[in-house]
Amino acid sequence: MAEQRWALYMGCVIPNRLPFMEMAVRETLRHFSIPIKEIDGFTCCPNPLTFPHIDHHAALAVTARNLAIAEEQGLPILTPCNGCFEMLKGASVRLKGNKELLGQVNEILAKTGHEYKGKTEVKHFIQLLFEDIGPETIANQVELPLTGLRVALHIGCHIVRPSHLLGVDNGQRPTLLYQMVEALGARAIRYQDEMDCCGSGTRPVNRDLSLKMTGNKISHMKQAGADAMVVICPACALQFDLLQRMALRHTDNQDPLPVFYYPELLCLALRTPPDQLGLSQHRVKVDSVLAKITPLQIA
Amino acid sequence: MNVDKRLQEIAEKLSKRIDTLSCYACGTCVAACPISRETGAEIYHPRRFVRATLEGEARQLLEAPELWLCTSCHACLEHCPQKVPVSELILELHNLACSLGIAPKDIATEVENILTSGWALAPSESVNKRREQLGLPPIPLKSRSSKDLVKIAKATELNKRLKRIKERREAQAAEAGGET
Repeated sequence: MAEQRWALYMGCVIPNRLPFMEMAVRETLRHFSIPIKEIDGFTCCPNPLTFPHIDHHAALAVTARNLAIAEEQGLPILTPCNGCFEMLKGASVRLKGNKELLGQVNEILAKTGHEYKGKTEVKHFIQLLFEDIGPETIANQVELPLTGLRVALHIGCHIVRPSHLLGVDNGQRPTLLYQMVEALGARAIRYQDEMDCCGSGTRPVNRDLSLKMTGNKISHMKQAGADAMVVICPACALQFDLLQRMALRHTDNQDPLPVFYYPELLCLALRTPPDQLGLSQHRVKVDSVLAKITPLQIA
Repeated sequence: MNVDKRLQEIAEKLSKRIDTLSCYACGTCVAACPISRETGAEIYHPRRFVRATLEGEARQLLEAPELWLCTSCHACLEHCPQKVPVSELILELHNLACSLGIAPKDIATEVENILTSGWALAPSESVNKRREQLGLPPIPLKSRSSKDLVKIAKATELNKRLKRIKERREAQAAEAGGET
């Protein structure tokens, strides 16, 4: 692993709502010896689903302030959240190629005592695992292959779209998560309307519509024979795990589907004990999956 | 602010990025849109947002509640064969609606919360207990950096827009109260 050090930008959903996901992030960082620095002073990315809809120019200034804070430390940003990634990466690309826009943003930032020079690079945590470590290396390090586990993929919108800004993978048919799940020995399951939104984005405006979208996706995953689903975004995780019971009321299917954050599956495959990952904090119980992949440990 | 002038600016901006005739109304954005699929295209129809803007007829869209159903997934933008930035246009229309004080309550409330706490989802005592169970350090309940966000809100249109949204809601509530 290269010695590049990263400013860890955790965002708000993981530490403030789903802290068990933080356990998997930190264990993965430790396992692959990825050096990070925790920086004081970051704020909300801000939430792409709300803030820019009221004032996208102010949102860009808030994001640029976060980019400036990493730049002051001379570090690129690493974030485990799709929403944060879209804002931070999107702003870094837009500001890098546009001196006029950078000037306008810095006029606002001057009030906060910061200046952004346009240098901060941004990576999503899964992108780092995929590009800098790679599925082959990961496959070679797996100690407990997740053989037989059928995992439905939900990559989440804001790591791949808009692809002309984010550039991580194809915006319509990405393969990154497929490769990463198969690297763990699990079977990646594709299903109807796989690239549809989890429903999170419309929740503040129409909760029923939002939950119906979530329920439909879970039904499609079930119909494709999934034992579990995998996400790489905490907003999707919140929607699929915390709100699953309410979402299923909008469908004919009432069987729960366990939801994993990719680093959790990775840690399980690296033989991290489930207790250490805090998997009992999931709202949808994951016991059926653990029984399938770790029969000896459970017995 | 002159709304019609701003709408014309948005249409011109859109026309600069795409030939006005580029949107050949194929409806791919509607087919790609999970909201259109769920509500039916007669309720939510992104192609109409594009055509209405290009043809100078977007004024009434700003008052339409369905404009806010967009889930920000960018499927429309990604699938458009003519590279029309549909979701970016919707964002511009949202911003313009906000300058008139039109916005769903929960969206405005969350942005106000971000200015206060620094985060969309603020830390809490109960989550800090769950963090403790996992051996993670607590998150301080007050962010020292949120004061910078307040400064940004003052230096941009954001404060004025939040104020207008609040005033409009209060006026509507007073009107509804007067009727009963």
